[in-house]
Amino acid sequence: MVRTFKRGGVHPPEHKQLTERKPIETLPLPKRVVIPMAQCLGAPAEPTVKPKDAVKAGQRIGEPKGFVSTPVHASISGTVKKVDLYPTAVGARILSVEIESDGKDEWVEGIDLESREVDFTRPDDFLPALTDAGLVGMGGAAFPTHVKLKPPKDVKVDTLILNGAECEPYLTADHRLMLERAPEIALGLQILMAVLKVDRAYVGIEDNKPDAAATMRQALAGTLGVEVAVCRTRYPQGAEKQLIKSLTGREVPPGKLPMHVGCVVQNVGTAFAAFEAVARHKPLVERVLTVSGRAIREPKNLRVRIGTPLSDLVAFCGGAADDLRKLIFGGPMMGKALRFEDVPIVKSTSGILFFDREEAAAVREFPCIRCGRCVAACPQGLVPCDLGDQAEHGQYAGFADALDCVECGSCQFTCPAHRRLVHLLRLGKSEFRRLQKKG
Amino acid sequence: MLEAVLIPAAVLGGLGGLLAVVLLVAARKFAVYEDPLVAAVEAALPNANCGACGFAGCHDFATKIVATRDEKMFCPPGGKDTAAKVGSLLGMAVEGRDPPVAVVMCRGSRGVANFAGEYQGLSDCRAATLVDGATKVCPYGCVGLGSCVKACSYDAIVIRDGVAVVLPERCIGDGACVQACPRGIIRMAPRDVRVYVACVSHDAGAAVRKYCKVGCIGCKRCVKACAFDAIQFDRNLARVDHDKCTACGACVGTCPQKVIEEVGLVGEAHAKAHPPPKEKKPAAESTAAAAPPAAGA
Amino acid sequence: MAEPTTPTTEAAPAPAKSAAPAEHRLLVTSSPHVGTPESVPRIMHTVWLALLPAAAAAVWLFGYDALLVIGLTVAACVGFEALMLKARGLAWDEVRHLAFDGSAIVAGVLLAFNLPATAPWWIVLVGAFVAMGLGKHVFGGLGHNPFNPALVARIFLVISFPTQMAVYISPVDSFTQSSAERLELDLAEFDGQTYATPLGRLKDAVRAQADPAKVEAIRAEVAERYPVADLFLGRTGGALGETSALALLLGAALLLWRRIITWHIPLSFLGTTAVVTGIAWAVHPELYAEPLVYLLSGGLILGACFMATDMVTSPVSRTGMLVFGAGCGLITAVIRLWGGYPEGVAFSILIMNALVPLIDRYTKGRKFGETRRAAA
Repeated sequence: MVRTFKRGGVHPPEHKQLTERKPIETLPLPKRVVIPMAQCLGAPAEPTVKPKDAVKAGQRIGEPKGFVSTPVHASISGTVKKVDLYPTAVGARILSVEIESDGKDEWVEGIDLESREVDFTRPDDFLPALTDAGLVGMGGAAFPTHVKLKPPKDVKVDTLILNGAECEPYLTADHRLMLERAPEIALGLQILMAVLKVDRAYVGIEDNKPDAAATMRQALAGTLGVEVAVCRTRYPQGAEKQLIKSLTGREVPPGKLPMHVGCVVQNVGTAFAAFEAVARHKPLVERVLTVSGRAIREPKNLRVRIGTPLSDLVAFCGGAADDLRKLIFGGPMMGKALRFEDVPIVKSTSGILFFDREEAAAVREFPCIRCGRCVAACPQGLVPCDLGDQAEHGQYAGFADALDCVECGSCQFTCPAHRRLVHLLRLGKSEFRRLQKKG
Repeated sequence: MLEAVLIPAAVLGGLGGLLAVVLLVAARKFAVYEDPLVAAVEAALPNANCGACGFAGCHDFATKIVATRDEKMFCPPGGKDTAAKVGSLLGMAVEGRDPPVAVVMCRGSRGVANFAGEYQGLSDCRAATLVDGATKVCPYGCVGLGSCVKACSYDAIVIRDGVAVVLPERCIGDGACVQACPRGIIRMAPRDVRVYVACVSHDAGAAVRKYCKVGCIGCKRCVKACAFDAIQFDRNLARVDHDKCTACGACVGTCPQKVIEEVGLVGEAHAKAHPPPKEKKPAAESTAAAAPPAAGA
Repeated sequence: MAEPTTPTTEAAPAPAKSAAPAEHRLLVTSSPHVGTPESVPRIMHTVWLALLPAAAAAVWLFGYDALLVIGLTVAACVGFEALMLKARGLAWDEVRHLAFDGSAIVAGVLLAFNLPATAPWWIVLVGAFVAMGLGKHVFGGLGHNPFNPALVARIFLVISFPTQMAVYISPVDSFTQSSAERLELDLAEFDGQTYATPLGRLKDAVRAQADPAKVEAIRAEVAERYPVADLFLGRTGGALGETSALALLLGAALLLWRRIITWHIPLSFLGTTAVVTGIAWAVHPELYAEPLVYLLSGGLILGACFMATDMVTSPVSRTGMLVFGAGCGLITAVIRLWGGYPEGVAFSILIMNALVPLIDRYTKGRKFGETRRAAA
């Protein structure tokens, strides 16, 4: 049975054929890395190293500040060159640690890069291991994993959902990871289940990746309570709330979190990282991502150390085309366009898209003709065209209703007038919150 | 025949009379007494309903000042003249100052400040900052998309080369622009003090130099030049204390970055006082292209 | 964005390389970075393309005058659109772009479809001016008009020039015959009367209901003169584009296939009309015709498929569309059966246009995750 959410959604051209058959390649060790302290959706970490310090790969270089914060680790061995403000994907000036490689790639004591042993008799050790490893949601939102895994006492979680939908066009990193690392992901899934103490889990995979679903099924054969569920290829199938609806039929009420309907959603990449954290004691210092788009010569799936400068990836992928016009961190529907050409890879970078002039060409904007396509496309049941009008006129009171907008971009994708609906909704929501704070 | 004329005339006339009586009774019965002073004070106010005094428009201000006789209440755009008029109406001395004037604490125009990227999107500073669309490398400087221009009811701010510029002769000091600016770089300054530091960057000098030719680098020369101890210094940034400043202008010439600005100099006078720094290459072309105008807008 | 305000040491913020030349190479916009290939002009141009079968049928049925009227109306609408855009202060190349975005062409074709073949040139010009001016630009142009511009013009003309707007000719099948010639022949054939439309004759029957013999005579005449097959093909009198159900349905199929319209409005509109007229027919078969006659005659199919579905003036939600269509159908049937005019499609759509903001407000869907939506 192919499952799906019922309301809204669009089907943008997938463009996954650029990379979906390309095995994950490991990027050569970078000569230098710039590791931002702000890598999760929470408080930035505090740097614990200073220039000229020698560090090893996997060594903690940033301490978390508060509960909703994650530690940061060195991704290569070498010497700290600077602790300074750098342009990154999250901001023009983010406190980061620059490390110059010694070329040896020495790892901190206790990390066993080959181990596959998970001691399921001691599940209480899992959560501290995951917390120490600096795990964040690797689908793009970068929410600290340990926070999601520790729901408040009054909330009962009964289902874990592993998100392998990868509904964003172009991106194939999760797809390849499932094909090549299914056993590890399966172990990671069991670790997460043990932490949450749930006995039911789904792996949601869109039906454009039947091979991944088959591989995952094979890897999970015999694991009780786990179902690999095939979902319709429909954006935003991989959005938390939509995936929960597709797989369990539950709807997360407005303003609530998945845990309030008993679900926790984790990305397959996060599950893999969880496996590494527990079995290998290896913190989150590398990730798999997709490099794609028409303005990169050889699109690839890469395993990359966190903090690697984008220029290293570009060089490894044959260079960028001369008419590179837009650089996107993430997928084309929700990703972020960058101002700077050379920024470091961070934990949440699921893909980097290089768009040429044609792919990035602006389409002429028309006034809204009230065709209602945005209304039909909105998975949250909002009326984007009206909200856009309100924001255009500086009226933000109506946005009390729109705070559930996840900025998935379905409305703007489908708009024949090519209005900047997502931008308007962003403005409206932020102004509403600002005015509310002012009282 | 006569009936055909008389009956309608009588009916309509009677109806009119009846309604007139109803209105008269209603006007008498529901009349609200208002101190005639309120109307007089309101007439003396600028009646721009700008809200700069902190009350809901000029009528509200007039009502409150007549009721409380608070000599501290003050209409900023009206300045001394209005204060005097209101004072004479109420038979008391109302505290009066000249209206303050808005100053933009950034002069990082195109070719002077560094930019990265080209922004296409909503022509609104706040919207641009939401998508990393403020393309100036300096994270403190003017976004240059004119949210303050839109907020000003008096056309007293223009965007010139990517930076907001206040036209002091038009500014009434209502502070609407201060609220509109997402970077918080517009401040209200007393109109008779003519000097301020047009930069808000707390970055170290070397960092500032890399992204802006007119950023305060924290060299403290102005601090040394000031005979009145009117320049404060905090985290790499100089700031003029308007209570102490005498507008002698001693600091203006000492600033190597030419960030000390004089209020009131606009247009040619401004260009003369601040010749553009020498360029190695021609000024970069338009960077922050606004969204294509919506059809039929 | 969490940005620390103070650097710990000297900073190096500028991009590592690619300093000057590529400085403005990268474009920053909000997500999403991909969009549909569909566009407003593409939609509008497809709509008038979908009207072409009906235009061809009009020429086939009413001769070359139909072509002249359609051509003149479209040209006048585009011309007035350009003039009004210019008057609103747009630059010429903007004006050129917007005048040919297809929306003026659609309004022109629809207005022509609402005129008789005999319409004189000045009626066309007045109609085009009213459509573009009163119907569209006084509200702010494309996307801002609450009423369908072509229908505003049609109602304006029907009320201002009732005589000229009711001069229909019988279908001719002859391209070379002018409408004036055909009118002469009609007047000779029908004892000095112009061609009567089926709805007009049915209204005559209702008006004569005191005299059962006369009603019966009219009903017999209707049955004989307007066989259902002719109504379907359009071999009957009426406004230019409304008669041929076949050609209109072909065009509507194109719009449905291209997903420019959805089935909701046409189906609920036609369905409601069929149900209400069906009830009337079941109760008074001697007075009212069977629903199929009402469905195929007059401007019902043109209205239901092309004018009620006008995106700008119809609700945005699917539920709203169903309510809107049902309202149109109900008002149309009521006017046709019991009103003063033989035809009610244009009135019904305009009345429902006025209710669209209300419908939109009360048919806002349940938000995701809400168990029940409190009425707004």
